[in-house]
Amino acid sequence: MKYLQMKSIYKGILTFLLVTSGFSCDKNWLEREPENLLTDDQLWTNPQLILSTIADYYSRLPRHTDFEGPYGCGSAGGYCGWKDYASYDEAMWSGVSNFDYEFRNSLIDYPFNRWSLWNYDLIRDINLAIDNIGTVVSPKMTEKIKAQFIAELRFLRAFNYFELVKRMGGVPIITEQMIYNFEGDPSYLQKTRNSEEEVYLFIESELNAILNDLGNTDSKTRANRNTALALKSRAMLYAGSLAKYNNLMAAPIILPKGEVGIPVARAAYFYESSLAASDAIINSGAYQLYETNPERGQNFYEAFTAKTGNREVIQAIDYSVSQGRRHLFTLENIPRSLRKDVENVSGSSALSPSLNLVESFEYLDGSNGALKGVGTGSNTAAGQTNWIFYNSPNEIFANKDARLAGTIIFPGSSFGGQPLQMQAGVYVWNATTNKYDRFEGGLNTKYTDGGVLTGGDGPLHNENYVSATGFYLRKYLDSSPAAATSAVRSDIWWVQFRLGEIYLNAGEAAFELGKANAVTYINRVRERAGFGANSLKTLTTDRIRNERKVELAFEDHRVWDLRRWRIAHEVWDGTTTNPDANIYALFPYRIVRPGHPNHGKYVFDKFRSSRNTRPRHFRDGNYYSQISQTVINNNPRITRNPFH
Amino acid sequence: MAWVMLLGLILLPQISSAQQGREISGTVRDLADKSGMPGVNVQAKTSGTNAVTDNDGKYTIKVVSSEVLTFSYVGYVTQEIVLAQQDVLNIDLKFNSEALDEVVVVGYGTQRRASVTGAVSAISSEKLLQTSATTTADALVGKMQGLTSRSTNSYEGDARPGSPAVLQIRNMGDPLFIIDGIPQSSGQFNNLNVNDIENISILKDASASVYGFRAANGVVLVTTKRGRNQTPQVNINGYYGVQNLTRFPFETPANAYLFHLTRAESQQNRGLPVTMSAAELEKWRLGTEPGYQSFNQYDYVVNNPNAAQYSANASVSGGSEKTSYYFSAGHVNQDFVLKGHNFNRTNLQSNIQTTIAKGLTIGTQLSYRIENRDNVAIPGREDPIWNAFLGANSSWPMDNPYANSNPNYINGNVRYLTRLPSTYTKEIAGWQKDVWNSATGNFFAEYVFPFRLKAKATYSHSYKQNKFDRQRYSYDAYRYVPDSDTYEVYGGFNSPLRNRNRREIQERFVQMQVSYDNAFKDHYLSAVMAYERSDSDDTYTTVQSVPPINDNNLINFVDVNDVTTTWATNARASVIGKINYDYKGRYLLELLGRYDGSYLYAPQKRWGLFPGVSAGWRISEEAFMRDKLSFLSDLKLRASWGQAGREEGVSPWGYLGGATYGSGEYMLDGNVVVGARPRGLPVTNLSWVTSTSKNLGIDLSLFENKITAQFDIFERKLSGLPASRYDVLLPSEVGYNLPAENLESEANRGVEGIITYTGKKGDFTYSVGVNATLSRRKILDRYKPRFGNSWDEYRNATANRWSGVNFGYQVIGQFQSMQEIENYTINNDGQGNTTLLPGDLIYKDVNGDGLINDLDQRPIGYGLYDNPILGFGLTSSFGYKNISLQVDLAGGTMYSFNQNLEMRFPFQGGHNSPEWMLKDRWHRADVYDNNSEWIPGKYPAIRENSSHSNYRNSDYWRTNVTYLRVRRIEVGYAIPKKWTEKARMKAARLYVSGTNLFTFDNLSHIELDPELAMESGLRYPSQKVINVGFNLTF
Repeated sequence: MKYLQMKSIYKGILTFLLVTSGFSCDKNWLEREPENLLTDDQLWTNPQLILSTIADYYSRLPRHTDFEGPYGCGSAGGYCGWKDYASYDEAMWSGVSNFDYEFRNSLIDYPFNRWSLWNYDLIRDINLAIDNIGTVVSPKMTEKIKAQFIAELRFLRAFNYFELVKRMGGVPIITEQMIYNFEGDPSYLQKTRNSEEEVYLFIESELNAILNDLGNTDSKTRANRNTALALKSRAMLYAGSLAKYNNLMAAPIILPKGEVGIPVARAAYFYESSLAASDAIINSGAYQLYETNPERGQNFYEAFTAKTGNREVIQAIDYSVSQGRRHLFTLENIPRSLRKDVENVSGSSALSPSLNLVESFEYLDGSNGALKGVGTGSNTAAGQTNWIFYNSPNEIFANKDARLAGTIIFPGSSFGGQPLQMQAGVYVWNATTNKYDRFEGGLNTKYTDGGVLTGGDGPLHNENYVSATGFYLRKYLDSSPAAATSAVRSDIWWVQFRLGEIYLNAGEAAFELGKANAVTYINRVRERAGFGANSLKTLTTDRIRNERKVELAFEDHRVWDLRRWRIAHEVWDGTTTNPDANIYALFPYRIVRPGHPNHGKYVFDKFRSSRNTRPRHFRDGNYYSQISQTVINNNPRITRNPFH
Repeated sequence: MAWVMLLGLILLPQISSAQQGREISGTVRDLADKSGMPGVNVQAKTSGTNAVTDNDGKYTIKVVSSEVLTFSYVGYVTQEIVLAQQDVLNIDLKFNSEALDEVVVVGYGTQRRASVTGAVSAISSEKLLQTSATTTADALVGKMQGLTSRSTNSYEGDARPGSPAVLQIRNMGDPLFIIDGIPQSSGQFNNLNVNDIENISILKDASASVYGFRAANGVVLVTTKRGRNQTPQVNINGYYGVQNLTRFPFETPANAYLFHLTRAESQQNRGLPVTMSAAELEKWRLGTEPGYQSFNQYDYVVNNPNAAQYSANASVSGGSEKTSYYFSAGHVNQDFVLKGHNFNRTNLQSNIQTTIAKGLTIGTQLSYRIENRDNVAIPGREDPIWNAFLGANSSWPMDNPYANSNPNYINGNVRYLTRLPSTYTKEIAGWQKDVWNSATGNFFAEYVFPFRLKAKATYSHSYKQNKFDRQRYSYDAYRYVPDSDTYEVYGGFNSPLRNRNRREIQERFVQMQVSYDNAFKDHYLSAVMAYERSDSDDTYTTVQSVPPINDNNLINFVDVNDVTTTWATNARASVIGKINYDYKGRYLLELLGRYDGSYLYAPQKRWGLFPGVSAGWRISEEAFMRDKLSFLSDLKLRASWGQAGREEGVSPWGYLGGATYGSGEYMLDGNVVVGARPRGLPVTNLSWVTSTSKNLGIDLSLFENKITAQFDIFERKLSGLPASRYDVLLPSEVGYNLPAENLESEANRGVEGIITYTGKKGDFTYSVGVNATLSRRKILDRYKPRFGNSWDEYRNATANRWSGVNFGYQVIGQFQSMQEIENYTINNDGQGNTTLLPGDLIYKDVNGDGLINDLDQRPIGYGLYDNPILGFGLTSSFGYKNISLQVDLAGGTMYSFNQNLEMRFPFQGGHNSPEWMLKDRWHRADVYDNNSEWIPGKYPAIRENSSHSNYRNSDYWRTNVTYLRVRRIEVGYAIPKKWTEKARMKAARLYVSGTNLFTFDNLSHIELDPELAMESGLRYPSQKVINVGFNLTF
């Protein structure tokens, strides 16, 4: 009896242990399948997944002032987004006054690490893709498909090297994966910087090599033959002007091994290369300047906002509201009275275009664009002597380059069919002092005479979410009503290459090469702006530079152009007396002087914006950005840039 | 799988038939007056039989040989007796739940308080119930040593209804919660019905490591109530209360006149012309003319004073010899002090167990809960409460919330429409509902072998579902047209939004456990072995649409503009072993070990072994002590050492290469293409972070347990914290980083203690306990840190330093006059003192170089987003006949609050500021006369310029907080028996209580609740609650 009992007990324990051990031996319990990871085998054999990888690479290409870019941005960072337009001379910041944003108005100088970039993670991923695609064996991966993918990857790599070289000067050219052997001594992976010239030559040879493999004909988002030529046109123009203008400096910025500084003798070669690329695009007949709307200002605006039938755009970063890829640019920059939504810290009116830019747009007769009859804003009789009494707020902008109206919203304008009310205050005649007294109020206030004191769109001197300069930005602003809401947002695309730039590139290169036809390229662009055919007879450097400033405003060219022309340190010299280095505002006022002919007319005051507290200051050490200490620690063979 | 195992147990051969039964009988008496105690529960552990004492305290129970009997009665010390060969067992039970023979729940079992060798704090249901808190964490605040708390220690959190306090064990981080033996989330813990909790134990040292992974920060063990072998007992509890905010810094925003005056001063102080005319300013001062009124926006935001809070709970428990049950239903409701916002929760609990065959018990604990959070969908940031509070300042005092003060028309002519308090209603802004449905079922089967071996299998399954729905309405705003006495549409909100988010979480847990315990003469031995494993998956789907109309709650495909899905999983497994040995109840030893595996690590790095050992010496049991120091009821020394694993710095599948799909989106040829990004180098060298805890403790009872005390000194060290091995410097040009390895370490060190004094004088009973916990984190090793220079090292080094030290400037005074500024030789503002005015802050030039810059920064404070380094509490109760009084205090010190944003900058973001900030400031006597005299004040002269030197991080803006809060006062009255009996009640009690009525602290100058962390102060502070309630027992 007892024996039996014990036996059944052991049976019980045995059963329990068996069940238990059945669980314990289940080794796969901790082996979980991820739902969002692809194995190398899956990835490189499937063209559709490779396209996903390429999409990822496109999204990671460095861009300085596009529609995205992280919150705040800080003082460094190669990739910063449109908010940084408020750091130069095209605009200032009029959005939220948090220091994270507002610092752009009081930037003491540009830090040496501004524009710094060392994104070899992307280079590594591109090289990795090229290696894998080159060696993969799979029925879906035909030689043609492989060649096309590799060409597109080489384009992306060339684009990235251009972004590196234009910020940092020469960088190590890495074209293959560098594999660490985990043996504790990675010194065999330490490369030196290639010379600035070598990097530009590398970009040129890469672009030349892939022209016939790229495919993607007619694509406006993926690289095709003409995109490669457009990149070449821009990059070679940079190289040419660097070679020429760096050496015209009192003390050229060079390093002994050419890491920065291109010999002056190479200028012609690069200009020729750029011109050839530009000509190839222009002569291909694939593109033409956007000239659809007979109203020239609106036409210029549509050149950026119209996606269908737009044969000017060569490549853009595209968005689609219906597919969920959209951006907040319109919400954050919509004029104050049109704002629909106040989401997070963003509001409206973030970028206030500067009077500096507005005055760069010439009059259609070719005369200087400085506005006529504006006061100094000093509220004294002397400050009012220059006034012209205008009948309407927009009369002062009459007969200007049509691109002004396409780029900027100025007093008296409307947007999306909605008229804006921009008036800073009133000037009331004071018979005792024989001058006008200035009164300003809050938004939407009425003066005692029942008329407007301050309009619903400002401008105000020092208030968030309302223009501080008297202007709003029109370029890229989406006129569809929901675009200014955080729920819907906007899908205006970001134009990266367009024919207008190519004309200007060609004109500049041809001019530098002394070619007689240089002026015809520039005149083509001016013709669209309303200047008539052959408006310029001769070219000067200043003409070309001003043309780029107004045609390409807010297209991520200004700061790079000033750098390559080596005039940034003069234009933005950090002095309060230099009109180019300070951001100016133009405030409209209504005249109150009942019974007098000037009653109800408008006058304008020009002054340095009170919210822009510091002049722009570009130092010699900004021509090449700082290579971070970490990069140098990691590889002591990397030489520092000058002045750092 | 678990079902198979359960079946296996149930189908075990029925082997208990041959056992010899016998009967034990005896009397249970109250130790104090030796009177027989009726209703005492007597349970035979092995046989699973039950008995209850009769009116004279007598009982009879059937048992098997070598049986353990437990005697328990509410309010008395539970006793466990190992039966010898006797047939009669008389027991005297001792009143006082704190005593030595109390049974404490510890890892994988229970222990007598006297034999516990680890650092364990415990609290029983009676003490927990004395609360008006709606979350379990809040009910624990200040009551136990080793536990620190703060309403929030993060940027986001606050003390809103339904939001729990942040509890940490010894400041080690988020603890692991085990409810009825199953690891659960903190949400599950906090939303328990407090009425359902039998007891809570906190395992703080090596005793926690038996729970292995995720137990490195300590373990909170919760046991829910069980029924007993007794006639059904029904409990009904309820309370009703009113809540108000303790303190809110923005309760009194500046009025319109102060606003305009200080804005004008701001212009004056910056050398700008004052834009507002004197006549205009005078009109604002008078405030009589139409259009010159001032509005206190706060009153429109916090518009539901005396917000209701109530709770009702009913439970029934009971059982027979074989079956016991506990059922309960509870509901708690808490309104916000803002209209339209509410939190409520319903809990259902069902615990049943039954003996289906000799030795074989099966049972379940089933719980279900519904949590509702109802809010107004105020646009702006995600959190509507934050949005609402922003409104108190963002709307100017000149903004009339309604056009022409007509409440039918939202005023559109205001500075910031979406922050206008009058829009904060569900009818205008829209609605938001956040609902959690959570069902958890634990199923267990336990078989007790006659030779004291026990086998138990448990399976638990949780299903949690979160439904989040929100609709933000579009709305029009208006402007009054006086000429025609009409209202015209003027602006509005045009960004309607509909969100529908769904989350489903499934959690599974299986455990098999074999345990054995026996006494051999003077030796007592118990051992547990267990295998357990768990996994979960979590899917989340969001849909967003732009509804064309406000009136439709459904989502139509044409309006959808965003859909996302995410998924996560985890899987873990462990083998656990534990052995307890004690000799004569004098020398105690515990050995434990655990072998843990986690899905996070590469296969070869997946498993970690974590051992522990603890020992105790009950000196008071030694003959030499017992004889000489008889006032010592108990003296025990404890020491422990143990390890546990911690998952840190590792992301799922970091050990795999390949590519991550869904890394981003980009449009190619008109189609959005989902990105795929190659992954970095696989992380194959990373494994568990090891947490090693050391603890020395002493348990003390004096004078017949009148005074009990417990003190511990401890260190918890984390080693193997992930870091990259950067002495191997990979050139940045390779484009990837070296993967992290387990290289760094840090420690938490501290002391804690509790002293309780319990006494009785005639009808007067009293008990006072104080407890305190000091624990601070210190960084030990950093992997080969490198510094550019000695300043860099001084400022940025962390190795061998306390963590959470904050640097800033030291303010040594304020300039008193322009002359003082002119004569001041130190460059105080970095701009030659050109920006300074009287009242501006003077910084200490620490390095004496005549210039105030970064190099003058010194440590000025503790961590901002931490629990107090030193936390303390007092619990006390006094009784006289039928009247009782409880007073609980809780406090903390050694943490910092940093005033920033709205709490530092006047007119931050162009908004209004609180009166306290603008009123007491340095300013000139006449805002229109720059030569008028300076009037001193507390704050510097106003400038709207946050980069001014005054606003640098300094000890002027930082407070090292100390507070002591009267957490709860309760006065109760127990209705005399002769009345309750008439109503057929066993007991009835009424009470009035007050929560957070008084706070003593050093943040009153900024009117801030000291338990908040967010630097702007824009967070829901703790509530002051006054309750009336009742407890009825039938």
